[in-house]
Parts: sequence; C-alpha cells; structure tokens
Amino acid sequence: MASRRTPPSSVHRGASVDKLEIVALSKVFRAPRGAGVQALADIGLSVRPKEFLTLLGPSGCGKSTLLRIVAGLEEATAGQVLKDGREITGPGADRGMVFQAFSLFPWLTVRKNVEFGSRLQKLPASQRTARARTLLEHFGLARFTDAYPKALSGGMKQRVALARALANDPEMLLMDEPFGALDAQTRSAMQDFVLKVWEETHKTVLFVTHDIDEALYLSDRVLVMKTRPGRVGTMVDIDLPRPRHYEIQFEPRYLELKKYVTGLVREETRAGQELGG
Amino acid sequence: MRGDKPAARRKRWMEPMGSIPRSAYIAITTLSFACLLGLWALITHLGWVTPLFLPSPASIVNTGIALFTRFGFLYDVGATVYRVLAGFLIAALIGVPLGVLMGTFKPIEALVEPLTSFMRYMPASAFIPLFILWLGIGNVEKIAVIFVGSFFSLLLMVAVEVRSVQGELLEAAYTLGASRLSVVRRVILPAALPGIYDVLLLILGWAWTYIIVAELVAAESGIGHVILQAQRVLKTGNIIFGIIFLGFIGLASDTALKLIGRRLFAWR
Repeated sequence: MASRRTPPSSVHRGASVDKLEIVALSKVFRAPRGAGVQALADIGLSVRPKEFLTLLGPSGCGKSTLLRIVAGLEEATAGQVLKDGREITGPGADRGMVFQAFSLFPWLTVRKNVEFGSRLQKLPASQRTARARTLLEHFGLARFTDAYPKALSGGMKQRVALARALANDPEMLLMDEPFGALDAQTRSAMQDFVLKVWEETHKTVLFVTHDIDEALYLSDRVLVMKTRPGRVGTMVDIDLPRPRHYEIQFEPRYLELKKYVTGLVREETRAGQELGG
Repeated sequence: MRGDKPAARRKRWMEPMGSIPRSAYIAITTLSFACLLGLWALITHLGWVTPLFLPSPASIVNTGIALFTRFGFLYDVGATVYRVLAGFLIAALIGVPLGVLMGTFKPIEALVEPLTSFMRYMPASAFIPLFILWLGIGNVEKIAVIFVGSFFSLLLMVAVEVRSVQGELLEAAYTLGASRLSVVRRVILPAALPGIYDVLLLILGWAWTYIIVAELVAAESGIGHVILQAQRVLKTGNIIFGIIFLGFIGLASDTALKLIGRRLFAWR
C-alpha cells in the first residue's frame, strides 16, 4: 500500500499540469521466505494530458507491473501515483484497462460486455444500449452485437475489450501489451485502429509493449526502461507527424528513431542478461 | 502438379483421440446394450442358472408390469424421488451460497473448509443408525442422510469451481468500476455457474446411492424398501427390476439435466 501521507513538497496538489505523476515508486514482490524480488526501483514519471506514452522494454523490466500499479490492481511498496494531483488508492472507472488476454466476460454477449461499466454506474437502459450500439457500430462490430465472445476472432475480441473500456469514458486508457496475443496482420490492423480511435478521443494513454515498431508508430513519447530492477531509462520524444499512416515506417526520421531506440533496448536487454536473466 | 484428386484419406476407427460419425456412435452404443441383454437372455434360456436366482428378461418385464399395476410400485418410486429431491435441494440451497462465499473469501474458507473436509470423510451411511435413533425411520431421517451425504462434498466442490474463476476477469471488472460486492455478483457467480451446475449433477447421482442404502436399512416405503422386501421372500425378479429401474431413472434425469445445462450455458 502506498503510504497515505500528503504528497512531498515538490508535488503541488491540483497545481500539476500532468495527468499522472509517479513519484519515487518502488515495488518488491515478497517471497514467502527470503528477501523477495525488487521489480521496480525509484520510478519517477509524468504523463501529460492527452498524450500517448509507451513503456518499452524487455520482459522483466517491470513495465506491466508499473501499469498495474497505475491501474490500482497492484500496490506499490513505496512511493506514490498521483492522478490530477490525487493519490491513487485502488482501481477505478476513471482508468480503463485493456489486457493482453482480452478478458471479456464469456457469459455476456458483445453488447452486454460493452455495457458492463454503464450498468455498474446504474445508467438507464436506453442510454446504456444507445452508447454501446454507437461504439459497436463505430468499431465495425454491429453484426456481432448479440454474439458471445467465443464466436469472435482475436482482433474482434480486442476491439470489444477496447469498446468496453471506452464505453466508461475513462480519463486514461491503460493498455498492457494489448496486441501480444494477435497474429502479425491483425496486430498491424489493430495498431491502425487504435491510432484512429486515439486521434478521435484523445484519451491519455499509457501503453505497454516490447515491440519497438509498435511503440514508435503509436506514441508521442516512449520510455525505454532498464531491467532488474525496472528503472526509468531514457525518454524518447517521437516527433513524427500525425495523423500517421503505415508508410511512415519507411521515412528517414522514423528509421533514425528506430535505430536509436533499438540501440537503447539492446543495451538494456544485454545488461539484464549479464545480471543473470 | 497432376490434375487427379488426392487419394481420399482412409477413415480410421481406432485413431487415438479421433472422432467417429454420430450414427456410428449410436450404433455401437446400441450394440453394447444388446450384447448385455442377449447374454442375459441366453444364460436364462439355456437354463444355466435357476430362474429363482436369475429370471429371464421377459419375465422381468412382466414382474415390472405387475409391480406397477398390482403392488403400487409408483407410490414407492414417488417416496424415493421425494426424499432424494428434498435432501438434495436443502443441501444445494445452503451449500451453493456457502460454497461461493467459501471460495471467494479467505476468512470464510478458514472458518468452514477444514471442518467441512473433516466431515466429508465421515461416510453418510455410517450416520444411518444414529439418525434412526434420533429421527426414526420416516422421511426426515432419509432426508437427513441425503443431506449429510451431499452437503459437505458439495460445499468443497462449489468452492473449487469458484476459485477456478480467472483472476483477470475480476481485474477487468475492477477497472470498469466494479465494487467488491458487484465483482462477486456480476463476475464470480456467473463465471462459476456452469461448473456449479456440473457439481450439482454429480452430487445428485450420489444422493441416489445414499437413499437406497438408507431405505435398505430401514424404511416403510421406497424403492430400496421394495428391494429388501423382495429379498426376504426370494422374489429375485423384483430386486432386478428395482435395480434396472433405478438405472433408468438415473440415465433419464442425467440426460435431461445435461441438455438443460447446455441450453442454459450456451456461451461456454
């Protein structure tokens, strides 16, 4: 549990322009015996409003753990996460999450999955249904409104999961390797889809991936993390124009950034392996 | 490449983990029943066993008709069904909610589970003499035996089903704004329901075994009572008909309930 003391003086409650502020955060997974494993050490990070920020790094760098702490699903051992200057103490509808394994409710139809959040907020049925229908039509899922998740392909499942998160109109969208379980073609189609949706909604997005191209293609900024324990590495500004199309991946500036980021990631991966990974 | 079609792959019957056409499946099943019946008919027809100990299939049919038309067997069937259902329903009404709570909340698990695991290993049939002393040999005693036989296992198995609900579904619900209570109601319960249904089917099968044992020990009516009475007067046919009839009730109810389950949980 993050300590409940007032934020340190460097953080001014409410005065911050950042959407999310992570302060001196660390996480130790306690083992039943022994010292436990330090997953994150002294993380400091600011996420600006409406930006698309990606945490990039090899497995074991704690990027998913950090995302889960922001979601409120995991508790930090020390430090704080502040959203709009207020400390996060648990999960909430203000931070929608998309998981790698889709995590759709298999007993609910596509429409009812999307309505799940509004049902919890006790929205009137007509409003709930209208909102779900608009989203599903927009997401190209109108034909599958009454289908169960088992009948959908991986890409469709993830679109439903995204619609379910967006139906709540969250302030932030947290995406934990959302396309990791998809094949390459579906994956690239989903990246375009997420870009389109983000350009329309401009939610603040915190995205986790180990795929360098995915990070470059989607993000405003990419944080390359250091491993064992996970630490803040290098923040890279992705100064590519928007709206982006896949051809951007052949532009000189893209390739330059890719070379730079690839170098950073390789360095971190090697360092992690030398530490006994 | 040549234009001729690839040779049709030869259908193999004994493919490990393979499948066969449904019609073939039904044919083989029918054959197995027919073999058993045929063997029985042959043994009795050739006179290898005296009819006193094993009557022929045909005479069993007549015995059955007589039981229903002249000896009020339907009343006994009704008595047995009533006891099974009453005991089973009481066990389910208490056991399912408690099992869900036990699988969901650790403190409740600590309170209930060790005790339940201990109780489960006390065989229900061993309680029969005690329950006869306490409750007599009427319906209450029978229902109590069924309850003891089903309740504790039901509790543990429901809890296992609940614990097998994927944690990520709970997490997804939390990030959609669910409270702890709504996670139980809207995620754990619906996710575990098909498994709980299967557990109930299994337990219902056990309940049938317990009721017959209870009726064999002491009863004034019921299928078990009819079987025991028949043994006392050497009416082997009645015993065999009773046993076969129990088998049919079990098969019919199981098939019906499985079909209902498939309808209820079409999302699976």
